[in-house]
Amino acid sequence: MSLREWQSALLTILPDPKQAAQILSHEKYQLTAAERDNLISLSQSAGLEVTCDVQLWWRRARLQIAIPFSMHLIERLDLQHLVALYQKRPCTTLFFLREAQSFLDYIQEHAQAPAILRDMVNFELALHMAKLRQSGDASTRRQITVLHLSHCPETCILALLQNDPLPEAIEDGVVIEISAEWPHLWQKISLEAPGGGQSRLEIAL
Amino acid sequence: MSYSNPLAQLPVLGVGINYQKSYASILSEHSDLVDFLEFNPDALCSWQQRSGQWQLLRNPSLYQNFLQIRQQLPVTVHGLSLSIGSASGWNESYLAILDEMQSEVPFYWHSEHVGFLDVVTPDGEYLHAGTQLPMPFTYEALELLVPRVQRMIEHYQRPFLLENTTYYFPGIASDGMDEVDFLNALCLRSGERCGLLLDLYNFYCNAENFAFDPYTALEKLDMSRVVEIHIAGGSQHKGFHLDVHSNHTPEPVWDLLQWVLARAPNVKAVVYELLEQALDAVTEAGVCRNLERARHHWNQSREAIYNQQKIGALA
Repeated sequence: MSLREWQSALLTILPDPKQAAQILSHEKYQLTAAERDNLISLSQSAGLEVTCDVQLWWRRARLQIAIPFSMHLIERLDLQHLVALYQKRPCTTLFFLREAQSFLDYIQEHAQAPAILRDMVNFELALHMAKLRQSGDASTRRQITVLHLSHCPETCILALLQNDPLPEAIEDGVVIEISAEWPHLWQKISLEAPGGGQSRLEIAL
Repeated sequence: MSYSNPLAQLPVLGVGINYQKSYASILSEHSDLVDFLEFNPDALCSWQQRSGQWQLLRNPSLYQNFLQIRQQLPVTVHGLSLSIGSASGWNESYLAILDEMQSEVPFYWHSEHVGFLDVVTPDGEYLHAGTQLPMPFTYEALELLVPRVQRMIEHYQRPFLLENTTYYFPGIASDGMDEVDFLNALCLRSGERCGLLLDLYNFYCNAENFAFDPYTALEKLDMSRVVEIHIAGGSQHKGFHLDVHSNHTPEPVWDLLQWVLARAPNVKAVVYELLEQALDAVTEAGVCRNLERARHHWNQSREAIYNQQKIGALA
């Protein structure tokens, strides 16, 4: 087994060492019986379990830094199993925004992820991206990200902070615009403005 | 001590700390405790989307903060994400960032962990460990690492140091070498400008986790290669000592520091490493106590070297 094959096998089994035997039986791993036994024995070691735990902590810590309100919401909704399931997928980054983007991609596809959680992750991630664009050139700063959400993120954050009941979905949804050029980075576009036009209400986060 | 050795010619920096933006008050209020800063270029960056593509780019606010806090302190570079041991290729975007920074923030030397973070599998899947993983102690690993170390030295025209890492799983392939044999071979093959960043907490963790005597193991290490020392503290989990830089330096590591300082002729710097998130637990006063104690050992060793040189001159 070459160094590259060993590194590939190790990183494949690391997020979920209990599945090692099944993973390594795949035909893409051209392993001898001795190499396979060696890797399976490694996957059952206490040391690999600890390495796996270390990876999980770092991944969770990155989510906590990137999307703190969403993580609070996950706790409130008792959805920690979603994070655990996500973490069984291979890790792809050392950086917190990419980890959050990868988590967002996961929950977008996951039927058990409620819309309110998707909305919060989308919103927090878009705010980070806007902050990073603040130091970009004029055209980068002027970019506007439009989010079509079913819950108002501000109401949701207030409910989390005050431990109030979480808001219900808004029937017609809510449109949020995010730009690096605005003092508070985001604004909500009301679809119910008199006269049929869109009024823009800037809200401090 | 050989004065033709380029590692011996490096400036003596003293006692430092790994840069984190929340250390600003330690650096301003206790400037007498910190002689230099060690910074991670990758920690001043973020992955950002540009034209739909994710790229590692300098984070301007983090970078400006660093320049402000750094002020006139000398700096060294300590990489986290070069992934020098990845068999499918190292992290070119990290090198691009370092190229950008080197003219604005000149550094005395550069270091990276002897390990790997990621790999592109033979069928093209990109996988990341999320934490440093060890290299096997094999000739194949040496053949991969040596040309990369040499390229780092040539490209930046300054010494490159390799840091020993902590690992937790058994049965790492070895071709008959242990970790110390491997580090010695790596330095010897990479040339005289390749040094070691000896992380004593990492070494202590490995010694505890795999039940070997750290002093017996370190007796074999080529001490003339040690340019920098890291000290730190961590925690235990499921019976393993973890390298998380979240605590005060434990007593056995202070003992190792004294022992190594007395034997490493070219050591130029000692760094107390702390995870930013652990600052509340360790407290600023606690950080200062670690720095003061490191300085005490450092001064003792410098005095001993000075006295030896004086005796040599008189003789």
